[in-house]
This record gives sequence, C-alpha cells and structure tokens, in this order.
Amino acid sequence: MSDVTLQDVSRLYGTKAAVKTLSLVVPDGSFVSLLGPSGCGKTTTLAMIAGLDRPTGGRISIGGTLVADGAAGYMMLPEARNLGLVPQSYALWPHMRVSQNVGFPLKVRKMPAAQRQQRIAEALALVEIGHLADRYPHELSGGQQQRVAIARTLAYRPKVLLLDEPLSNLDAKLRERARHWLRSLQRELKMTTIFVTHDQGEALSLSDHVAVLDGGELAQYGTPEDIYLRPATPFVADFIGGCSFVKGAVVAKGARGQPTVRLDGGSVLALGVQDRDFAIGQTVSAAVRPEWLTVAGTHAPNVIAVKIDGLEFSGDRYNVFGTHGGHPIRFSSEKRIDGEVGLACDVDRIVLFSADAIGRCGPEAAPKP
Amino acid sequence: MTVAQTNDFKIPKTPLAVRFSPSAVVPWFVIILTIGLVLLPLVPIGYQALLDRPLYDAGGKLTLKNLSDLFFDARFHAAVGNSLLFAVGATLIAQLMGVTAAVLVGRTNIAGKSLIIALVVWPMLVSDLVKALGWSIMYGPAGYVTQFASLNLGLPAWNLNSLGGMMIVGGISHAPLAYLFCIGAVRAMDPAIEDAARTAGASRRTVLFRIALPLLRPALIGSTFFNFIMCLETLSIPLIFGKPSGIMLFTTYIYMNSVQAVTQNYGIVAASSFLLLAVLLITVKLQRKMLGDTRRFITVGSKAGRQKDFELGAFRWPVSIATLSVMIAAVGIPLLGVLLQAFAEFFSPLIPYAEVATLDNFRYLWSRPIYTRALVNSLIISSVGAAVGVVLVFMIAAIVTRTRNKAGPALEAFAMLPRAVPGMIAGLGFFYAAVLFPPLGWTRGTLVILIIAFIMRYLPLGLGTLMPSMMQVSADLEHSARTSGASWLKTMFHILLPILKPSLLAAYTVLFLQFFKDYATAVFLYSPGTEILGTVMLLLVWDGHTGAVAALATVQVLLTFAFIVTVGRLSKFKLYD
Repeated sequence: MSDVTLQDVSRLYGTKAAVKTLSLVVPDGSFVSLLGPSGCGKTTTLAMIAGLDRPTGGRISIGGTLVADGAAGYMMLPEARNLGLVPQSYALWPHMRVSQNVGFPLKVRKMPAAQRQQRIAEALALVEIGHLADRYPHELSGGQQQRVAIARTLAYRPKVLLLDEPLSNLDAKLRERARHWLRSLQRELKMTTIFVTHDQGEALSLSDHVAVLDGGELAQYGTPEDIYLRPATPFVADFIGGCSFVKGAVVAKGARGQPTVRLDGGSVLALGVQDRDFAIGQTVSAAVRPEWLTVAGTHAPNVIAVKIDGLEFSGDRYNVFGTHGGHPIRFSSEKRIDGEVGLACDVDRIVLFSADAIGRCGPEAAPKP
Repeated sequence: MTVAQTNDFKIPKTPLAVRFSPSAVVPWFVIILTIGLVLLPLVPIGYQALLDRPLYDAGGKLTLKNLSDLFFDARFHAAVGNSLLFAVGATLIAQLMGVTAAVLVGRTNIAGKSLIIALVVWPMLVSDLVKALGWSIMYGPAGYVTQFASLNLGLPAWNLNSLGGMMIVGGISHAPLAYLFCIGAVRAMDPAIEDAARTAGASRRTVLFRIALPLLRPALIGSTFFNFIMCLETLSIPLIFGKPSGIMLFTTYIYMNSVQAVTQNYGIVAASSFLLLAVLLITVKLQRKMLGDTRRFITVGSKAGRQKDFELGAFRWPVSIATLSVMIAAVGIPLLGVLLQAFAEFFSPLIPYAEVATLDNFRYLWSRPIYTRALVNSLIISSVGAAVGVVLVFMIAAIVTRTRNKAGPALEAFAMLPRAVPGMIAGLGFFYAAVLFPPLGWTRGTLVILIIAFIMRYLPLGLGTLMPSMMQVSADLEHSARTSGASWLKTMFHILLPILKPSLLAAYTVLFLQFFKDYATAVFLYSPGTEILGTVMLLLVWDGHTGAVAALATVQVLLTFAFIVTVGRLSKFKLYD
C-alpha cells in the first residue's frame, strides 16, 4: 500500500507560513492534483513529501511508514523514501546519456548490470523512446525530455510518483497529447501519483481527486466534479473556471431550504438546494459561471437583466462584459449584442456564498487600475 | 506491464532517518573556518597598531602613540597623498583603456577582432612585478626604447620615474581587468532594449548615454573600485619607478619601514597597515552602497538576440591597428625586453646585442640553491594550495547557493572581504597571528602558512570564478538524484562534481596562476628555506640585479604559459572567456 497521509502539516519560514496545518489523504493508486495559484504552497507541500523540505509541524506518512514529524524533528532522508520525482525542469543530468540517466537510480540500488540493462530498456519502451537511449539530454526535444524524466523514475518502481508541473514546459498541442498519455500510463500502472499544477484544466481532466490550496491552506479537497460544481469557497469557485459574483439578499426559502434571492440590480432568482444554509434577509453573493448563462428575453423568471459594457471576439463566440446592479458579470454570446439583455440562468447550478465570505477574491476585491 | 510489479530489489538501508543531520553540521564548520581564516590576520594588525611594543614581547600596554607618530610623520603624509593621486590617475587610465577595448570588441565591427580577444587577457597572467620590470627595461630613464628614441630620433628623454609615469604603467597593467568586467555586460545587453529606445524617439547618442551606459553601471563601478584597490595595494610599481626618484607610496612606506628597515618599527607598520585597511574596507562598502540592488541592471527578457555591431566604416582597420599597437607597446615590447635582458649582461642600444648576449644570468641563478628552491616552493604552493583553495571555495559556494543556511549571506560577505586586503598586509597579519595564537605557531617557517595566507587572499577570486557557474546548475538536478535514491555523498560525486568539472578546473587554474605570480603576500611570511619566486625577485629588484630578475621572470612566464597550454589541452576550456 502506498497511500500518502498528511496530518496537520505546516511549514514556516521565519514567521511566514508557506503551508498551514494541511491534512490530506492520497489513497493508494489514485491520481491527486495539488492545485492553486503560485505561492499557494503546493510546491512546498510536494517538497515535504519528497523529503527535500522539512515540515515545521505535523506528520507525513507514506504507505503507513512515518517519514516526517515536524514536532519531533524527525525526518527520513529523501533517498530512503523510494519516491519518484519529476521536477518542472525535468532535471535530466546533462553529463549522462538517456540510458545512464535512467540507470543511475538502479546503480545506486546496486542492481546487477544485466538486470539493470533490462530494466532500462523496459522503462524506455514504456514511454516509447527506446530509440533515444544513447542521446544526451541536450539533444532531445522538450517532450522527449519529459518522457526520459518519467522513465527515470518509473524504472526503479517508486512507491509514489511526484510530478511538479511536468506539462508546463511543453507547447499547447504537445501538452494535450502528453496529458492523455500521462493519464493512460498512470491508469495502466496504478501508481499513486501526486501532481502539482496551477492549470485547472489539467487538474480536472487528469485527477481522481483535486486538492485546491489557497494561501498555504486547503480550500477544498474532492473529485473534479465536486470542485467545479460545488465549490466550498468563493476562492475555489473563482479559481476553477472563473465566476462572476453578484450580490443580493435572500428573500424566501423553499421546502428543502432552496433560497430565493433578490439581486442588487432587482432580478430575482429561485435557486436550487445549497450545501450551506442561509437565513431570510441575509446578504449573499451568487457565484455564476459564464457557461450557466444564456441570452434570453428580458422579463422572464430567473433572468438577470444585464447592461452590456463591451465585447471581445474569441473565434467561435463573443466574450461579453456586462453589469447588473453595478456588479460585473461575464458571459458569452454567439451573436454580437448590445444594449440591455436578459440572461437565463441555470438556477440549479448557481452557488450561493454569504456576502462576508467574499474576502480577497472575487471581482469586488480586484485592485482598481 | 512489468514495471508496476512489487519491488524485487532491496531499498538502500531503510529506514534512513535523521533527527540531527550531518548536513547541518558541515556548513557550520565551513562558516567558522572561513570567518576565522578571514579575521585571523586582521585582528592582530588592529591589536599591534594599539600596542606599545612588538606583540611577542611581554608586558605590552595599549597606546595611541603609534597612530600619533604616524600623524606627525611628514613622510607618511607624502606617501598617503602620492598613493591617492597615483591610484586615481592609474584607475582612470585603466578604465579608459579597458572600457574602450570592451566597447570596440563587444559592439563594433573592428577588424581582427578574434586576434584582439585572444591577446587582450594575456597581460593578466603575468605578475605586475614582471610587467613593471619590462617597462623599466624598455621605457625607463635608462631603458632601451628611451635611449634609442633620444639617440636616433632626437626625442626628448621622458621620465617614467615620476608619479605621472607610474600612473601610466599602473593604468596599463590594470586595463585588462576593466575590459574583463565590462565585456560580459556589453555582450549581455539585449538589443531589444536599445531598439525600444530608438523607436520611442531617442537618438543614437541619447541611447548610448541614457540607456546603454547606465546598464553598464555595475560593471563600470565594479571595475573602477576593483582597480582603485589594486592600485592602492601595488608594491612593484612604486618600488621600481618610485624608489629611484624618492617617491614613496603607502605600500613602499610600509615595506621600507619593515622588511627593508634596519630595525622594524612594528607600531608604525601595523598602524599604517591598519589605516590602509580601513580606507580599503570603506571603499568596498561605498561600492556596495553605490551599486544598490543590482537587479535593477539585469536585462530581463528574451534570449539575447543578435546584437548589431556598430559600423566603423573606413576606420575599421585604422582603429584595429591603433588598438593592436597599444597592446604591443604596452605588453609585447616590455616582455620582449625582459627576455632580451635575461640573455644579456648589459642591454642598451649603444652596444650591439651580439656582444652582450650571455647565459651568465641563468648560470648565476643555477649557482645559488636559493633560486631553484624558490622555484620548487612556488610550484608546491601553487599546485597544493590551489587544490586546497578550490575545495574551500567549492564548499563556501555550495553553502551559499545550495542551502537555506541563515548564515549564508554573512559567509559570502566574509569570504569576499579579502578583496579589500592587500597581499602584503594579509601576510603581515598572518605573521602576527602565528606569533599571537600558539596553535598556529608550528606553521611559522613552513610553506603551510604561505598556503593559508594565499588562500585567504584569493578567496574572493576563486568564489567569483566558481559561484556564477554553480548558480546556473539547477538544484532540481540534485533533488531528483536524492529522491531517486542517491545519498548526499553519491549526489555530490556522481551529479554535482561531474557537471561542475570545467568550472572547478577553471577555478584551480586561476588560483594556481595567482599563487604562482604573487610576490607581495609572502613578503612577511617567508624565511630561509621557504622563499618563493616572487620574494626572491623582489629582493633582486631591490638590490638592482636586473639581469637575474629578468632571467627569473623569463622562467616564471614560460612556466605560466606551459601550464596554461597543458590545462587547455586537458580540458579545452578557455580562460577568461
């Protein structure tokens, strides 16, 4: 079993916390993404799992073995953990050929030469670059380097695969191919994988579970669908997929607590069941994704009346910037539109947050230019 | 797929765990060693400066008499004034020549560029003492060229044995340093930055003065201060050109009051050294302050595009010929002078060379065991010392660039401090330290103390050579080695050291050459049996044995070139590229 457990893990640099009491269980054989903007602590977390950084508090265990205990000052050295790390830069050793790169970890493990050769060939075949065995890293393309880096970690069969933004150095087309390839490889090997990324698309499409980090803290941990459809905080709603936040107040509640909200601009929406409970009269913010809005007549029920400020042509559609009661709303339209329009909402999907939960994120807090 | 199967081989020494890791101890050892090494010579100088008798005599009392003696010594005042004048003048000349060369080579289509590039750093490899000697042989008052010019061309004889003459010699011998500091910055300039200024409406002139030169500021300030310090600490030039005409500089004042004095005045020597140190440390401090945050000068952005060379047009060849002529006159002819003098008993345009050609100078050197001994000692110190130095430099660079050790910045600052410590004063400090601290006593009269002093003196140079390349090696390379199962030691030996091999060899070469040509650091430290090339040459200069010095200098220069050729063959690396 190679599950990874983090229990109240913290990392302080002086008084500044890079990671704050983070608790997380990565089940054996699953693919988990650590997702967040730069500076959210995801790379620090990965480094602590790998043993390259030392937690100042909390415990980390891998496959039931304690590898770090911040309070006790206990730390298993990285080389003893038997993990596989693919850093963002791939970090291929420039003075070694591809086969030597893959063979070095095996040599360190004192594997006999014959078995080593066989293992190198296997690993290179697995990532489909057997023909490049005698090249030096600088003679490879970005995509090939990435495969060598992965082969190098797979060859010694680590307990856990740690990937630090391995796709970010590839160009857009190659990245998509690499993404499919990586996912099917992981499914095939059933190797526990922790994947660090700031790209929500990568995280959603690759992962069994996504951990969204915000300022060193775990904002939400769940399946990609959970994260996208039922964001736990305004930050998650905004970071994953982008959201408009429209302020209003709860005016009524249905039989199962479904709130009806009157927005500041006057439109009234009868929403579906929410994860959180709201009182009548409470000021709230409705998180609305662009794809939940469609242009409709102005005065139907569950329609938001929007004044259009500007358009942006993006090929297959227009990105539209409008306001409702002074709150910015983003949506898209197939046709060029102008003036005032009504937007029909997918009311079952709209997520409500109490207005004071909107802290540093959301359009209200965006710095004024 | 087979790869996913269970582990069928053993994981190394599980569980390898630490509560207290050795990687936390080694850095502290290096930090204490380095700070100790740097402070060891400096503290005793301050102490001796305030002591009423030599520090090895019992019963010493603290006093300000040394400082007040200095204050009322008119010769000291003259030396300080001369030193400052000389340093300012020589630095200006060096900067003007070096920066011009850097801009010509870096940004124009000057003819014969590769030849100039190949020749321009060679003077750095030759000791100042040898260069000054060559200048004196050729251009001094009785020099070959001076005589030739006044006899055959009727030119008035010039006098290099003056403050102005010393400035010219000092300026020319330090110009390559200014060139080296600036050429990198000139080449690294992103042409897009200048293009942006041009399209924004700036003229070529405005671009040069408002964009290009300000971006060169760190290099200009850095080299100016470095050269100023080098000029303040130079000993050979005032000894060869100042002594005959009675012009004394700071360094010759110290030298004559100690090494060449009948009774050494320890108080005066320590107090003046202490003052010189203070001036230099303030200068370094000032430089850091003037530079501020160097990131302001780093050009961010695209991979440096192809720079457009400034077209010199019809001046392409004349400028090239002028540049080469200056180089030949400044370095080629003086070195030729040393060579010719080495094989002559008397070297003058008045007597045909064939009549004076002789091997007597070399026979003289061979007949006295001290000279062969000095050569062997120099080779030992250079080869062993440079090796020890590279190990220390590597460890310091590793701590500064590879660990999050809180003392890292302080370690770097201390390790860079000796660039403000003249070799002679470092030597004096170690001499005192060996007297003052019994654990060091055994090193007196051995080559060990010379090696220690040399390493301290050239620590900044070694770091400057190794650190940039070390910063370029991504820490990810070591991290992935560690996570893939290699211990710290294996990571060092199989990953970091092989990647750094060319840079380590470069650092070794640079240290070797410095140790081999140094003459000032050892002045207070050698004793019968531990003479080195530099010190015996200095004594021969003092006694006026020009032929013998020239012969020794020839041997030194030839060995230097042989060393560089060998290293070049071994590794195909370019020094100072």
